[in-house]
Amino acid sequence: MSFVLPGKALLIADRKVKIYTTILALANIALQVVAFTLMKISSTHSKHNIISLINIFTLLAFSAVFTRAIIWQWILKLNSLTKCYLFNALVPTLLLLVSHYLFHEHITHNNILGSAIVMLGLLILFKPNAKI
Amino acid sequence: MIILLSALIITLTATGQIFLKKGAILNKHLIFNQYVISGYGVFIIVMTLSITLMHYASMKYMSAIVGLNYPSTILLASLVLGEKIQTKTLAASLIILLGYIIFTL
Repeated sequence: MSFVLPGKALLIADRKVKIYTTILALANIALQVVAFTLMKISSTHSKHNIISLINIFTLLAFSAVFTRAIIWQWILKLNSLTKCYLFNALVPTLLLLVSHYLFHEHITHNNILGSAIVMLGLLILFKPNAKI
Repeated sequence: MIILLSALIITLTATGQIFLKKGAILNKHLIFNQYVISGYGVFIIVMTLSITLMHYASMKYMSAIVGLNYPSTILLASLVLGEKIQTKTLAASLIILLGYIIFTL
């Protein structure tokens, strides 16, 4: 039988929440990127009518959106809104990479610079003991 | 008209997130409770308003609005939910906003 001091137990619990939140946050981001990618694939596969938009890609995209909604609620249950909302800013940067490598879309200098600035913002947010 | 719609979209997006947060901390079903349903209801209004705004403004302008959602949501979370905002959180949200503006220029 092992005894853990209350302070240490809190620290372990806090670390577990952090790991759990990080996994959920990454899943949340990945699902948003997957949903947008599937929507794009769906729109390129469909012809110029609304009915052709109802296909396997659209259904998968909606499934991703719904799963993301559940994960987002779990994240909000464990964390403050101010802390976790900014993490979503990573999505456009990842979409930029997907659009370039999967759909061969053109990337401008401003896209790269803007993404770098967004990443800088996130780095400031998640870097422990960052002082401003 | 554009400014009014933009202000509404930004405020309602932040409000929707507040509803979701309230729904998450409620000791009821995680998804199907009154706050979460209201939150997603608000997002449907936001989507309708965004489509309306796109008639008057360019897509670039929309990205700036998405960027503005970050500082406005954390400010509203602080006001309504009483969450503490660290200086680095506020600074990060403003840097992200700048990033979004440059991204779409």
